[in-house]
Formats: sequence, structure tokens, C-alpha cells
Amino acid sequence: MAVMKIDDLSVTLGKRPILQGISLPELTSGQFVGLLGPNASGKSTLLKTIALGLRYEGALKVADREVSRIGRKERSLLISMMPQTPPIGSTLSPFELMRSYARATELGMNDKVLGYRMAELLNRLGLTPDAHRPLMELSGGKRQLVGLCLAMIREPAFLLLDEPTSALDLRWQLTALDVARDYTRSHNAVGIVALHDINLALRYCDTLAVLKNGRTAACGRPSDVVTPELLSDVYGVEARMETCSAGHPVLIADRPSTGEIHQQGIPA
Amino acid sequence: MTVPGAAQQTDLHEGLFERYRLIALRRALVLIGLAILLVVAFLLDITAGPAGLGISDIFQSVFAPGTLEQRMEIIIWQVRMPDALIALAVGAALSLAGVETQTALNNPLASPFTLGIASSATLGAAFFIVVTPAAGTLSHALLLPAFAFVFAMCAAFAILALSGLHGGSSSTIVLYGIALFFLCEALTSFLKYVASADVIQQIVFWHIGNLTRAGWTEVAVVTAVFLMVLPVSLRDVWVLTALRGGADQAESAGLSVKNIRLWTMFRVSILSAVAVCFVGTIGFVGLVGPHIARLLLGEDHRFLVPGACLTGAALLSLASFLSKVVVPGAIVPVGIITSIIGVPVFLFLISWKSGNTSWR
Repeated sequence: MAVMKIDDLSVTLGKRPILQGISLPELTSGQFVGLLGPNASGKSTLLKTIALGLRYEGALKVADREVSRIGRKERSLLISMMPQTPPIGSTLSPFELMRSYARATELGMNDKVLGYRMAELLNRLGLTPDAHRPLMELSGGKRQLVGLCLAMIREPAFLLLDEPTSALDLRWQLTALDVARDYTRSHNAVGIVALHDINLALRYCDTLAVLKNGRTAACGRPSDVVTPELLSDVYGVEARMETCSAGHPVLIADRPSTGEIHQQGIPA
Repeated sequence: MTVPGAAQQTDLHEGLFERYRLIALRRALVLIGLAILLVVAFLLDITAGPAGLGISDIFQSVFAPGTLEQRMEIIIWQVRMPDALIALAVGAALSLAGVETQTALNNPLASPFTLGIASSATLGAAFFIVVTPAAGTLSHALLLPAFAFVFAMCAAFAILALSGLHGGSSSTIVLYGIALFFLCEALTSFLKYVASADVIQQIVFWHIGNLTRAGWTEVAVVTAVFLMVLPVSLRDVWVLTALRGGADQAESAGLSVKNIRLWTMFRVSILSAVAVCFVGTIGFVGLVGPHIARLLLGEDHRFLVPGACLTGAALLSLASFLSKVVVPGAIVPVGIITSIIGVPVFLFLISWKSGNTSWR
């Protein structure tokens, strides 16, 4: 049973406080959570704290265990993160890179099982024709999809994605989020995805958490969270929520807010 | 999204691996080709020289000992064999050190020389030559490489300690190495400045890099260290391959990039210190050997690591052969040959691969 609890979580990098008392409602199996917030609001740091064992204060529990007490190897089998930077465009192929990841982290499954997993992932993300091409020949978007394959090859209970769609065109944005959400549903995992595209977040996530300057600005059901007031407060934009012809809520951003100057970055 | 049916999934899986089997087969053939090249280079190297030995003489001496003229036997077993074997061992060791350094630091220019290990060895040797100029004695022959080795290891540990303090990022390690390189070169120059002409000549001779002072002991030591490090490197091939996806990616997969870097640097330091302490500075093998292997074999380190050992050994063996035939009747120090050949080869590789983004 994958459960994640985050309570009063603070992280300081160097001397700069990045996260200052983040609390989220309990995240449970099958939940696909969107993490929103402007640049430098702490989205990446929150994901890294969960996945990479950064030092923190407060409570951060996965599967009822404090993350700081889980060893590196066990943590990597439980939690897996797709970083913002895609894999380097080396002469390795997606096939070779995925296989080396599985073997380097000692996934402990035979070549055949691993092969099925790889084939399915590559197929769903449209990479089958590119499976044996060098990464340096692939576009940035394809490499980003390879990054998603690398994060998912371990079939983690907690799948964290840091802006997984930033380099993708429309079709693959939808596909990548489809694949990640289907995975959290079918494997009873918790998925957390940091996104800049609020409409994608509205479309795909069950829960949205909004960060501002390292604090939780809002958290809850997407339609409750994303309001013109919040967007003005957090992103500093004038925006409207409309309902599209299919009945989904759609955000339309009109202009930067006038009046107060939106505070970017972290205050001292 | 439709879930692919079982039959279709089997097809996908089979297709994926069938293609890969062909790729793996081609690489295995390249490795065999390199091994053949290595043997040819070794035979050329062992027969080249003023004595006029043929390949048949070598075989006769190996398979039917005692049937050859005694003078020939001595030339083969006391001169040619150790020289030719140390070329293989040093070439393989430097190239292995180079390929691991490049991958671990994600830097195409990293090599035992960039890390300042070779120049520290030179400093150690120069220091010893200046302090005890009595060349030719047995203790001198043993202590000189010992000094070079100790200096090289001190340099390596200094770099490791400093990088450990500062988080072990790849660019800091390379910068420490370059700083160390300049420091050692300056100190060596100072020693040359205060030394007598005779001593300077000895230092210069050591600095150039030369295979001809090797005997069976040196061959045994370099080979033994190489054979001890190689299995460790081969055990780590998956981790090294995974590192080529980038440090961020590897870290996110739960690999400790810092620990991998420090551990790799540790074994690379031992390897290169042992390699250069007997033969002096032999440039470019540790840089060009790995790059040729990368071009031929790709970056799956299961093939690349053995491949780099083979290219390095074959390169130095060929250079050793050339060093004996370019100037008739004389042996040019092999360090000069490797650099003179290495530079154009390197420039060719760089220009051929221009537009290559594989290190970004």
C-alpha cells in the first residue's frame, strides 16, 4: 500500500531556505498529484527531497517509514524520479541505457522479464523504432521520453516526474501523462508530477498542490484549487476559468497582473 | 490507450532483442578484429630492430627452446619480449584508466595526464635523479620507479581528498588535476634548473617515455596490477554505462555519482601510477585509445572497457614497432612517437566527430 505523508517539511540548501513548512494531505495508492507553482517555488526541491534523500526537517513518510531512515538502495527501488534534464545525447541507444539502468541498480529480474517491460514501455511511448538508435540522433523530446522510460523501468511505488512534458509536442504530452497516470492506477502507485501547464494538470491530476516561495499555497481537488484569485496571488496573472464544450474546466490567462509587482524567487 | 495483446507483445519483445543480438554480434566481431590487430602489432614489434629476427625465429624460440643460436635467444628473451610485453601492458593500463576517467567525469578530455598523475610521477623521478645521481646501480633501478609511483599516488590522493571535500563534481576534479599538472611541471623545471647537465639528461630521458628500460620484473608488476583492476572495472560496466545517461539521471536512479567517481578515480590512479612509473610519460595512449574504442564499439561499457584495453595495447605496440623502424639503426623513444602520431589522429577524430553532442 503506497501512502505518502508530508507534514511541516522544511529544506535548506546551503543557507537558503527552499521549502518552509510544506504540508500536504495524505497521498494514497492510485493518486496522481499535480505539483504547481511558478519558477523557484520549490517544486523540484520537494521532488528531490523525496527521491534523493536531501536533508530535511519535519515529517516525510513513504509507506509508513521516514524517508531519511531508508537506505539509498531500498529508496531507489521504492521511489523513482524523472529529473528535468533528459539523458545526455550519447551514442548509447535507449535500449542500452534502459538495460544498464536496470542492471546498475540491481533490479534483480531476468533478461526476459526485463525485456518485456522495456518493450512495453518503449512501445507505449512511441520509441520502438528508435530503440537501437543513438540518443545523440534523437530529438530533445524523444530523449525526454527516454527519461520517462528510465524512471518507470523500476516500477516504483512512488513515481515522481519533474516537468516531464517540457520538451514534448501536444501528442506526446498527452501520451506521456496518459502512461504515467495509467501506471499509478494499475500499479496502485502514487504519482507526483510537477507541471507548468495548468490545463494539463487540470486534465490529468486527481489532486493539485500549489507551491509559492517554498510554502503550500493551496491543495485539493483541481477545480477547487485553480481559481482566478489563486492564479493572481501565486503566478501574478489575470486569468479566467471557462468551461469548454466538452464540459472540462479550462484556464485562459489574459495578462500579467497590474498593481502589485509579483514576487519571484525566495525572500530572505 | 489500448493494451497490446500477448502475441503482439511477444513480437515486440522478440523484435527488440533480435535487433540487439545483431548489434552485439557486430561488436563481438570488432573485439575479435582488435585482438587480431593486437597480435599482429605484437609480432611486428618483437621482430623489429637491428638483429634481423624473423617471425619464424620467434616461434622457434617459443615452441622449441634451445634450438636457436644463443645470441638470438638472449635477444628475444632478455630484450625483445620484455619490451614488447610492457608495451601491451602499459598501453592497456593507460587506455583502461583513460576510458574510466572519461566516463566517470563525463569529460572527453579527461585522462591520467589531465589529472596530473603522470606529471607527478615525472616530478618524483626527477627528484630522485637529482638527489641520487648514481645511475646504473640495482637499487637505483628499483628506487626510481618507486619514487615516481609514490609521488603519483600522493597526487592522486590529494585530488581525491580535495574533491571529496568539495562534493566531487566532475569539473572540480579536472580543475584540481590541471592545477596539479602545472605545479608539478614548474617544480620539475626548477629541479632541472638547479641540476647538472648530466642529471638534466637523465631527467629528460625519463620524461620522454621509453619502453626499453623494462625487464621481466616491470612486465610482471604492470601486468599484475592491470589484471587486478580489470575485473573490478568489468564488474562496474553497467554502472559506467548508466553514468553516460548523465549525472542527474544516474542520481535519480539511486546511484551515488560521487561515490562512483571517487572509487573509479582511486583505481584509475593506481593503474596509471604503476603504468607511468616504469616507462615515463607516454602521451595520448590514455586519451586516443578510449576514443577509438568508443568510435568502433559505442558506449556500452561491456564492450567498451575490453575494447579500450585492446586499442590501447595495440596502439602502444604499433608505436613501439615504429619507434624502431623510422630511424634505421636507432630507437626513437616511444613517447615521442605516440605523441607525433597521436596528435593528428586526435585532430582527425575531433573534426570527424564535429557536431557530435555526445558529451553534452
